[in-house]
Amino acid sequence: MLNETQLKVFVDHATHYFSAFAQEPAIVRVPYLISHDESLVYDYTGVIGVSGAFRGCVYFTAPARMMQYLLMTQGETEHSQEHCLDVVGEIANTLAGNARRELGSDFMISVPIRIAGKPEQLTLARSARSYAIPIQWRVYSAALVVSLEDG
Amino acid sequence: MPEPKPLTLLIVDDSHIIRRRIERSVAIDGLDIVGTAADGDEAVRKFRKLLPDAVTMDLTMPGMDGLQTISAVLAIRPDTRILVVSALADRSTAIEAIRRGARGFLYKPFDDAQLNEALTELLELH
Repeated sequence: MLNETQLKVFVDHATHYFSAFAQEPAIVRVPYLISHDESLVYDYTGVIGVSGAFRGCVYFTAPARMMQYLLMTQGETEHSQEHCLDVVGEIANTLAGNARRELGSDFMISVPIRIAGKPEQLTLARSARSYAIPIQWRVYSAALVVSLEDG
Repeated sequence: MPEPKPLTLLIVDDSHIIRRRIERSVAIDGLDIVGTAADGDEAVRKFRKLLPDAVTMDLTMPGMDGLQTISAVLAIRPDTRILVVSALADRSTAIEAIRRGARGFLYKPFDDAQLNEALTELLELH
């Protein structure tokens, strides 16, 4: 199971991400446990499958307006669903990939699966411990969910 | 004296927003962006046609990943300068990329200054 130090890795990378990429820091709040059947999703979700030392998934989920605003900060004039999905997948990939600095290369990650709306196929493993990390960027609320068990 | 020929850059990343970010952020005199590719197969096709001097290379991509793509493009033009631009922040991935012939590594997320500094170093333009 993920320990407290390992969970903090995700908090730290989420904090750094928005400062570096969008030049505006996010407020990352204290993680809390969610149950396997709890549905914490916004409009767009990027899911990274995890294997190796851990098994499960890491996903980033955010409202459409936040993704559209993020696109705007990057000078993008087109805020289509396709582009919002691209951003949400890239954020999930970056946050999971950055975690390999501390968790090592045996924290193996998949390419992102990008989902619009409520994902039917996103069920957290009953045996995994799942944490939601609330992220507030500007006026928008998003979340990073880390649902992992030992590999 | 004639102006030196500009160096050319191919951007490889499966994310549209990252390709655009790199396109918009590169501000180096004498460096022209000649193309972008969204996966390894497209990268090799475009590389063969454009024969760029330098490549920014993502690693986590569907199909042929970035490490395989590094080997493929260097088999075509061994003196290509490759800057890996990736979220994979562990040491062994960086070592493997360098072993395959990449000459620099920039971690995502990056800001404009970090990108330009990494490219300047890659191209030895100091």
